[in-house]
Amino acid sequence: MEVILIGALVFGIAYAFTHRGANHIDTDDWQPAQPAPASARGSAARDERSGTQRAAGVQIALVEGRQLLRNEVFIVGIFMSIAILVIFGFVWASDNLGARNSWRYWLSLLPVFSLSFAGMTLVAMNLAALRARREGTEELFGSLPATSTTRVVGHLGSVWMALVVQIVFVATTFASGMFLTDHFGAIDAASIGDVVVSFVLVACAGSLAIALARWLPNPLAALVAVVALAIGGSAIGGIGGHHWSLTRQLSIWPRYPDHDWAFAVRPSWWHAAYLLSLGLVVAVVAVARQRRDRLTLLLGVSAVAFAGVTGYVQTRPMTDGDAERIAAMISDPVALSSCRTTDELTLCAYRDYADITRVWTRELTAPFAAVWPQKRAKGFAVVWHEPRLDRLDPAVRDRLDVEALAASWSADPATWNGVAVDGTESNLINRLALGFWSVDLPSVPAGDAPCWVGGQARGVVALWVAAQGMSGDDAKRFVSGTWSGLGDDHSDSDVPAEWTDGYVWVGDATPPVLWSATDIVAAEAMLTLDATLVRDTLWADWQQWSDASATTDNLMTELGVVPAGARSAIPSGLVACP
Amino acid sequence: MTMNDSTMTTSGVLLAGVTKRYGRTVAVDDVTLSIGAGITGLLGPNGAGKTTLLRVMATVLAPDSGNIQLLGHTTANAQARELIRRRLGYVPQEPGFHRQFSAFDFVDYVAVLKLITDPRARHDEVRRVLDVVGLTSVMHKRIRQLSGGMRRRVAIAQALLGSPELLVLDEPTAGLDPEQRLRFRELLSTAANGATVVLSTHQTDDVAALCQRVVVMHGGVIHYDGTPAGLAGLAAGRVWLADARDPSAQLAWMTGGGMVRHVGEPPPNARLDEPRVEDGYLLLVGATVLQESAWK
Repeated sequence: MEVILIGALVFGIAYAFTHRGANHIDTDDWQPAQPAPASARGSAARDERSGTQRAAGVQIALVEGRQLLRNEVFIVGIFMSIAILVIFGFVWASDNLGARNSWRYWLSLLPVFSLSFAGMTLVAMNLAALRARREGTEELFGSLPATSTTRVVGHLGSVWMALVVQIVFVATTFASGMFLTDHFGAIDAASIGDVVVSFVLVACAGSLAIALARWLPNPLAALVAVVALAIGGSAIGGIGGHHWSLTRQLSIWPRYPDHDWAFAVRPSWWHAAYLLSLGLVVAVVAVARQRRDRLTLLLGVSAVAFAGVTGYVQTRPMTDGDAERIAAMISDPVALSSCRTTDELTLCAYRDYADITRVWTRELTAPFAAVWPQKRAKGFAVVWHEPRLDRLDPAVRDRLDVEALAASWSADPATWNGVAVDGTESNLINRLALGFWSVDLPSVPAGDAPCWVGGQARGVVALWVAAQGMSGDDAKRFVSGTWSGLGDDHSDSDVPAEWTDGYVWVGDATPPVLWSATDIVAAEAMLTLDATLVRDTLWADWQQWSDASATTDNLMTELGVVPAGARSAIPSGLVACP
Repeated sequence: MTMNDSTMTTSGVLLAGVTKRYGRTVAVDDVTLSIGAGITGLLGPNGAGKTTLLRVMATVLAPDSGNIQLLGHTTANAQARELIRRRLGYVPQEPGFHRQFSAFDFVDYVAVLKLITDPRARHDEVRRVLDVVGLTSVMHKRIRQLSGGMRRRVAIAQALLGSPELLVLDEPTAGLDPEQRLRFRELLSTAANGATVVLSTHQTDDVAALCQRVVVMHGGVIHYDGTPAGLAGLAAGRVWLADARDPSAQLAWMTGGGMVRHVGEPPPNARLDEPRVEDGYLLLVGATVLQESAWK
């Protein structure tokens, strides 16, 4: 009983709230429509002094679109887009060095980047649609021949301005990707779908703005809708966490798993169609406030059916063919890769991503050249693998023997398999892997913990090799582990406290090697010396300096540098690197 | 109620038995009226039903009963209403404005809603009507920056868009200074050339100066329908000037010349004066008007 009473009260308040000022005039509320008299029918068409409702709708759309540029909320939305572009396209551009910098990944972020602008568009268009009510012009407009439906359609059409802004945003994003960052890889159909999704999101925001204005004519409704969409979209879009879930496709903001899109089938076109159909449903709802005829009903039913079909299709599992193809890419990457060999340095990336080897070559040429020539002659390879097998679509995962794969990958010390590890620092990790290989240190941990290289000269040599070709400041940041995302991050809860003595690796992965603090100081000192002098000293007896028995103090003495201090004790639970 | 047969026409306004209620209040009670070309003034105290009647004429309010024919079309169906609205200009009693818009943009917006959809022709028309009301120099200023009088002129300008055949003006001169009122009279007399103009006002001198016909409403019904001279004539022989107010007089007030003007029975030591429209109007609606005026 209480529930019924509370429900009735809430409904009553909502009704009173939304029908305040009910004596305002709505042109189509005159009285039940009656057939036009014969004398009236067709007269409108003969009236040459003025245009049609459709032409008026177009003109309203043009005028309202231009007025959006005077709306403070809309301008804030534009600035939010600019801020996102500046932060991701310019400020952080130099950090985006690794596998996360593929065009596929970059374009998949466009819908997310567009959400703030879409939200502001929703609020701004809602305010515009409520302007007549807010500023008391409804009575005047009710005396004018343009119908409420024409005005609604005109307001819906004003989204063109938001779409123009979005075009500029997307074009600038492309330009920044082409000229300011090292984007690589193919732009596939799914990526184009992502771009389309970003436009559809903005259009849907406009559609929802007008529907809310017609049914809940209060600007607070738009704000509540934006918050609700953000919360709901995030909740549905995050179902499954880091792991694969198809249900999240039903969100306006589906998150994709943390591996490269080459290993997923992303139904972005279906998602665009799904969002578009939702936008159409909302637009029909907006028009239906005044116009409830067969055409409106037909459009509404069609849009709902379209939404149902696209929603269903986009949540279907991938086909067996796609699953086989992706499984093959993971189990035998070299067979499906494009490889580039310079001297004895071989760089392999999946064929869609072949141009990333250009970036790798630029990064690894100097470190490779610093390695003893006889070691170089044995050759070193970087092969792009996908290490995050647990996050793959189950259809792919079920086709792989994960343990066997991991074992085969780590078997060959001259091949570095981890280039696709999380993040933008994979180029730095490539350098380290090369440095480890040059002095026979492991590039993958032997178990759940790193090995201890504290006090061994080869650990310092590995750091020096890896840092070749970098500027002085970058090299120092690199070896000290203070590069963003690398190393000595004491706040990272995934890193045991005893490892914080000195390591350089991506934060949430187990590093293969752990240095002592004095080794880091020694490596920094080496980097201040003349590189040719250091190289000649190392090459003169490379086998000694890559042997576990040579100490950091020996090397420092050989180079004429005052030793940094006593070797640290091996932390409990760790063993010395073999 | 009297009906001036000379105004019976199919090209203006024809109301037959129109009634409009708000709850238990009858705002317009079985009004039958025919208005043809020319300016017709609508007088009446507050609450007389003038605004309701004008809203019905402007097709923004549906009557509860009765038939309405405007410009030869019935208002009962949507298509006919659109035809009427294409040829109608309306100034509501409290016209709202899009305050962020410039005067030009606002009138342009109204022009779009008036289905003047060709941009060039529309812009020319907007400039024309803004020029007619003397706002050319400020047409690109935002409306929130304009004075109350200027805003009134914006409201009048939008009503003139497309040279409408039916102009419905609800207190259009409220807030205008005397010079602007004179200009308004001038432009309205020009605009009314061949059009049907219905003008609601409290300014009886506007009615005397502009209108060929005047209708007086009170309590939702029509009390007088005729010429302004005829309305003034109702008070012929009943308007007096005296040195002091007669305590028993209901309609008496001090004039600017220091004399007390009485309408009705002669006070002691009074001399007869020429009747004006205002006198006839006051005689019709009586003390109610004066009581309301005391609150203004």
